[in-house]
Order: sequence, then C-alpha cells, then structure tokens
Amino acid sequence: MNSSSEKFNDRINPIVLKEMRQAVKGKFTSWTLMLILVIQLTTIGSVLVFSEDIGKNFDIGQGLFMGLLGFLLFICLFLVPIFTGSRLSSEKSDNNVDLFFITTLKPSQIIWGKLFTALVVTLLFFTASLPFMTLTYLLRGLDLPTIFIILAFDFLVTAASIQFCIFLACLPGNLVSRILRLLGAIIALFIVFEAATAGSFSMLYEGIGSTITTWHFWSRALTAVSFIIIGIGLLFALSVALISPASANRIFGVRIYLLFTWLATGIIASIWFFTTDNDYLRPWLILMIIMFGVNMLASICERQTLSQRVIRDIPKKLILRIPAFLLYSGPAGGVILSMLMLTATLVTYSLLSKTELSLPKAGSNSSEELFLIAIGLALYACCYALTSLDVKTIFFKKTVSTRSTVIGIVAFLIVGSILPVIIGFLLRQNPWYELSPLWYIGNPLVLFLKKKIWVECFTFTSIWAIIVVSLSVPWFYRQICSFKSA
Amino acid sequence: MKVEVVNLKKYFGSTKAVDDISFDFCSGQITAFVGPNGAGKTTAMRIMATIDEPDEGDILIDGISVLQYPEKARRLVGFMPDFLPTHGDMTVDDYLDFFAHAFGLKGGKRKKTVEQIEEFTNLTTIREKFLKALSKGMKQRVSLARAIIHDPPVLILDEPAAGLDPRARVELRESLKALAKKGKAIFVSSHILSELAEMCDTVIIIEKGKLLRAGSIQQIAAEKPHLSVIIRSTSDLQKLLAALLKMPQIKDAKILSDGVAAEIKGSEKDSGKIFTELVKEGFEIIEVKHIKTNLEDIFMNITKGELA
Repeated sequence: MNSSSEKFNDRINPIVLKEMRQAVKGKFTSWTLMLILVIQLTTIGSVLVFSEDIGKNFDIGQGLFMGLLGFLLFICLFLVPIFTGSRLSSEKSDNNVDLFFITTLKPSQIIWGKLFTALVVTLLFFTASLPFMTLTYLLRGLDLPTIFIILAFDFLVTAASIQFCIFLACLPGNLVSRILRLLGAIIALFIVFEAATAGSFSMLYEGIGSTITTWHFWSRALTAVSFIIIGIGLLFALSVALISPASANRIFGVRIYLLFTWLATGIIASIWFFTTDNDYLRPWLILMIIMFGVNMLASICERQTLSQRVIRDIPKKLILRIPAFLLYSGPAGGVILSMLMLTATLVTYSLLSKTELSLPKAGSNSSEELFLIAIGLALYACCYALTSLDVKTIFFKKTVSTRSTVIGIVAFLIVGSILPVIIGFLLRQNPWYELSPLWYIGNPLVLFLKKKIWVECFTFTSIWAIIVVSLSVPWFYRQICSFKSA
Repeated sequence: MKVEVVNLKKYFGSTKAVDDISFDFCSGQITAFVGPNGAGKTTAMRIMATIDEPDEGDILIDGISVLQYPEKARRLVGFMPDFLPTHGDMTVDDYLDFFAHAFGLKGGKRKKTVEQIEEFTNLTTIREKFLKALSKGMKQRVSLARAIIHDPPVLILDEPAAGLDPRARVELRESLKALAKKGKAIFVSSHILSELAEMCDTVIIIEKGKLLRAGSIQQIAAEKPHLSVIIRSTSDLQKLLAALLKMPQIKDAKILSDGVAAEIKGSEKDSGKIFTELVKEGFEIIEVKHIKTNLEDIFMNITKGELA
C-alpha cells in the first residue's frame, strides 16, 4: 500500500471501509449486479431483435425505459434498503454494535457509514443500468434530460428509503418487533415504489426534460429535493439518537434538527406562498403540528434523571442554560419546547396567511378551518401526553419505567377514542354511525370529520388541558429544579 | 494505573444486579472476578467497559470517571465480551484492521500493529480466513486480539476461556501472563476456577450482586476457620476415624484409600495437639499432610449459589 492510498484510507470513516469490503467480498452486490446486467441486456436485446415495428413506433423508447426503470427501482427500492436495514438490525441484536461504541467511533459515523455504503451500492446499480437506459433514447419517445432527471429523482427516493430502513433497524425491540418492523418496511417500500414509479411515468409523459430551462421546473425540483433531503436528515438524526447510549445527551441533535426543519421548511413554504398560487403553508402547518406533537409524546418517555454525561455538558452561563434545558435530553425540556414550537407554528401561520382565530361560521374559508384543526390537534397531543405523564408520576412512580409511558399514551389514545363509542353503543343500542358525534370527542380525528362539534371539542380539550397541566406543575417544577442544581 | 470500583450499583427493575460493590486492582496484576451465574459479573464488566451506565457509584480508571468521561475512559480499556465476533463475511485481518482504524490508528502504524497483534495471538496463519470459517477457540483469539489492538493498559475479559480446549486454555493463560508482565491490569471472569487460580494474583468474589470477598487467594484462604489434613497410618483406619470423631476439635472426618481426611477447627497449633493425643492413644502415624485450600474450595465455602 503506498502512502497516498494509506492517507486516503485513514481519512475514510472506518464503517464505510468495513462495509465496502464486506460489500465487495459478499454475494449480495455481485449477484444483484449480475442480475441487473443480465435482465437489462436480455430485455433490450429481445426488443431490438423481436420488435417488428421498431422503426415506426415512436413510443417504444418510452415503454422500454419504464420497463428497465421498474426493474431497477424494484432492486434499489426493495432489496438495497431491506438488506442494509437487516444487516444493521442483526448487528444490533447480537450486541456487536456495543463493540463499535467502545471504540472512538461516534454513533453518527456508524449511521453515516451504513447509509453511504448503501448509496454507493445503489449508485453502482444505477451506473450499470445507465448505458441500457440511455440506449432507449435512440429508440425515440424520450429525451436525454428526462432520463437523467428521472434517474436523479429516483436515486434520491432510494436514499430516503434506505435511511428509512436504517431508522427502523435502530428501533429497540425483540425478534417479534423485528419481524413486525420488516413487514412494515415492506409495506412502506411498496407504497414508495408505487409512488416513485407513478412519479417517473408522469415526468416521462410530461417530457420534463423540455422544461429544464424554466423557473417552474427548478422551483418544483428544488422544493422536492429540499423536502426529501430534510426528511432523510430527520431520519438520520433520529437513528443516531436511537443507537446512542442512553446516558448520552442523545436528544440534543434531534431537537436542533427539528428546529432547523421548522425554519427551513417554513422558509420554503413561505416563498411558495408569496411567489406562486400554491399554498404550501397549509401542509407546512399540519406537518409541523404533527412533528412537534409526536416530539411531545416522545419526550414524555425520556429518562427523568439527568445522567452524568448530560450534567457534564450543561453550560455554566445562565443565558446558555435556558436553551440547554429545552434542547438537552430530558422530558420536561422536550415537552416545553414542543409546546413553544406548536404555539410558534400556529402564530407564524396566522401571521403569514393572515388567518384569524375564530370558530367556524357560515362563510369560513378552508384556511380558517385548517387553522382550527391544527390548534385542536396540538391540544389533543398536549392532553394525551400530559395525562400519561400525570398517571405515571402520581400512581405508578416506582412500578412503571419511564420508557413504558409510551404504552400509557397509546392505551389512553385507544381508550379515549374507542371506549366512549362502545359505552354509547351499549347505552343507546344504536349502530356506531348513528351515535351522536359527542361520543367521538376523545378521538383527535374527530376534528377532520365532525365540524359540527368543534365548539364542544375545543371546550372539552381546553378543560382537559388545564387539568393535566395543573397536575403536572409539581413535576415540571422538580425537573427544572433538578436541572438548575446540576 | 489503578482501577477503582466505588460503591457501584445497577438495578434492572427490582433486581439488584450489582449491589454497592467496591474494590480496586492495579497494573501488572491479573484479578479473577468470580461468582455464580447471574451474580452480576457481566453487568459490572460492561459498566467498566463504558457500555452500560451504573445507577449509582462510579469506576475510576487512572482517575478518569467512566460515568463522566466515557470517551476518555474507553481508550484505556480493552473489552472482550462473553460473545464471539459475528462478522462472518470479514477476514481476520480486515476485522482487526477495522477496529484498529476505529481506535484511530493510522497508516503504517496500523498495519504494523495489526501484524504484531496477529503474531502475539497466533493468528498470522489464519489472517486471510473468514470469521465464519473459524472454530470457537480461534474466534476467542480474534476477540482477544481485538481487545488489545489499541494497546489499552486495562483489559476486561468476560469468560475468555469458555468453550476452549485444554491446549487453547494453556495458550490463553500464557498470553494473559505475558500481557500482565507488560504492565497491563487484567480483570478476568471465568467459571474455570483452576485456570484462574494458576494465573491470578487476586480474586474478587460476588454473589447476588454483593461483594463477598476481595484479596489475594492466600489472604482469603487464611480466613478459613479450619484446616484440612490427610493422616496416613498403619493402624486400623476405622478405629482412627472413631478416635478422631470423638475429639471436640474435629469438625469432620472420613476414610480415604490412603488414610483419613479430617477437618480441624483452629490453627496449626491445635492440630499438633491432636496428633500428640493420637500417638499417645497408640496410633502409628506415618504422615500428616496439610491440604492447601484452592480457589474452588474458597468459592464453594463463600458462595451459596443463589441468583440475584
């Protein structure tokens, strides 16, 4: 080995080097590559040899391209992500990841190494297919820019799918949970495969390559790319947090990333809102409400005592200690941050879209209705999270672990959504669809379905929120005091 | 280099896996860590290796807290867990090179270190073999090689001799002795007590998460309240046994093929009185042999075999 290659090796993430060596020496990459080459060659050869109207049919290039792309996407959207995820999952289950942690490797290096190697393998498959796909250009029906744009888009979707499977592999759980996650991954990847194929078809028939010089193309392309990359980043940050040791300040990265996502997607949505007719503020509002609502539910399950490693990192200056309380690992900071961000999202939306808070009335526009739905969802998230926390801290302080609080949240959600309906059915003896909408008031989805009871919904959740927030005040106080004294 | 375990506690729900244990060990020493299954050995070792975090207490490695500065502490520790490497599709050389790289060894130094470690652990001839093709003993060697690849001053070895054949055990013992001579502090758990007794300077015994004894084997053996002796005699062994059992200083006695084994309460001085009395009673004593207390006896006497 000469010195320049040694230096190059030293700079590479060790996980990348290890995974690449395994990929080169393993069977998966070589066999799949051979399969891609054989199938693509056979398909192209068969069309060229057996197609009689090759000179007259102007769509033959398009059809052939979609056939080849469909096969490539099947390999890259199903096999590569599942292979990458299951490798990590098995490494985790046999404790070998523990051995990585006692080296100087960081959790982010481990996740990045896995993702990067899978991307290189995907790129290899794409590159091997590229000559065959560009050959379809000669058969007419499509242009070269369209081919490259579609491939670039599908590569990005594949990257997101790989990161999604890595995230699933990082989730804790036993064999049953691993099997369920695998099934979940297959279903999700199937949906992505369908969507990616449909999107590719649409771009192909639209002849997207011909719009490459327009702002319309670039605005859409940049938005889609930004959202996919932000999504990959979020899954990356979550995966890193999941495999980090419990005692580490592992939520810090996730919370910083959530704030970044809020800001970045907010800016993109605002640009769209003010420069075009497309109102991307509405999906942004719903996405952010869901994101910080889930963050609040997840924060409840964090460990309540600060580890020595977290304490070590807490800054001494008061001005830095306040953001540290919100951003560092710890449930109270997470809940308060979520509440602040939910409020900030609602206020930002209200200011940008000039939507005022008012109960629905005749002539209410969809923007006002959506605003109310968002407020309602935020209230439901707050109520369920804090109810679970209060029940745990008041009744099961020692017997239920903090991590199990998530079971409480799910249980309360199920009970709140289903139990009233069952009681209503038993009392009234009416079919569920004939019951008064009030029996559904515990279900957050009622906001989308039953506009008539919005007043009752807001009254109910507001009272509920006041009660659970009051009950949790002592807990918040203890958490803040413990952070202050650390 | 000193490793200090200070009031270490680790709970799994209501189970006290490690219950307030404190001890220390130093460079150049091989310390045995013994206890029945489920005593909390692996848990304590994983905390030492910075993989797990204690609920209370701390471990100081050369004064560095594993709780506060695990990143610094783990550079000082080489950990060999009780499971084998499972990266079956990697060669021995690639596997060791990966860990050397992960510990920050660079360029020529990394290559040289991997070669040296392979030589030290007798892996040179199988360096190009895939891990899946190795026997258990070979995998144990790879695991040891991985643990020492970054030249840590402290080695934590969890059941390194489990499943090894006698030859591999001897090789492992010699390797550990050589490492201790190089000044490494070695902390090793095993159920093969005869192996440990041959190489360890000190022993730490735990059960149900609690520390029962810590010290040198001689020190702990000296705590034993009775002596074990074998008395060879030309007289009738049945009569000798009956005479011994009548004496208040005798705790227990039984006939062996070549004499009578007896457990004597008290010190060597007390045993002298017994033999004088036996001779006075007319028994012809050929030999009185003191049986040295071994680690197995100590372990059996101290532990009760209960789970935490």
